[in-house]
Amino acid sequence: MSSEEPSHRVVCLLDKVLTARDVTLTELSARTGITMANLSILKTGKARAIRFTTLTAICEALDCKPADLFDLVDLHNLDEPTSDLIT
Amino acid sequence: MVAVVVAAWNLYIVAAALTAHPLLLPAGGSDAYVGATVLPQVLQLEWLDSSHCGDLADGEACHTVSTSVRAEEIPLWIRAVAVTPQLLEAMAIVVALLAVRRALQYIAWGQPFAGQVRAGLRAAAVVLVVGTLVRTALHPVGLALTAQWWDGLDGGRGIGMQPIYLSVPLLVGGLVLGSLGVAFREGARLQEDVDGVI
Repeated sequence: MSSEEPSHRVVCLLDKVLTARDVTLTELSARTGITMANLSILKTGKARAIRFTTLTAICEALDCKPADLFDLVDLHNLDEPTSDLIT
Repeated sequence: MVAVVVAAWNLYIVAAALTAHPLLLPAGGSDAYVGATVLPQVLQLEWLDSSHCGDLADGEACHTVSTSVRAEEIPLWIRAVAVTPQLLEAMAIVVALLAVRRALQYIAWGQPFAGQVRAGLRAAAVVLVVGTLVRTALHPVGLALTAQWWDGLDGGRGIGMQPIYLSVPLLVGGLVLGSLGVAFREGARLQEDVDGVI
């Protein structure tokens, strides 16, 4: 695999869910106990993996499902998710 | 701590053998001297004198007089070759200690799996194991030279030599450090695996 190609096609939609719920990253950090640094890593798509405990905490805090937080993109068009966001 | 003592002792042996200076002996005195047994290969080197036995009456027992050989009686170049293994071992210990110290610094800075830690442990292990084996291989060289010189002398002589020398603690220490290096390498890999895991 070349250095330009991403290692996976999963994108995190946390930013969109936060906007839809009108919740800031700071508030989410306070609700879940997850550090701002880690939430920022997740939000910017730099996370390599997420623990189920972390995922559960975020879903409970935002009243959403894991499918709401992640999507699969087309490698040839990374900005376009393959499905619509479920709010 | 043991390694520091061993290194210091090796350097003391080298200095005593090369200088043959009696002041380097723990116990001094006007008749103090450095014996040939300062060389690691030598257990016993003695002049045996029975020339006085001709003066004895018939039936009277003759007791051979033995005199220890002094280090200064052995040619300097033979002494230098004989203690070279000691010097190499001391140098290996010092290098290994410096490498371990550098590794401990990074561990103290909260970077236990940094590349410098693994490199330090690996270097210390290699230096100790190779240094110990080289020292063991060079030991017989000094032994052969000393024995050859001794055989070429005239007169009654007594000799005892130590043919083999292997510093097992240093060898084991090197192997332990090598094992630690492998463990830290796996730790670094695990750390890299969890990097970015939320």
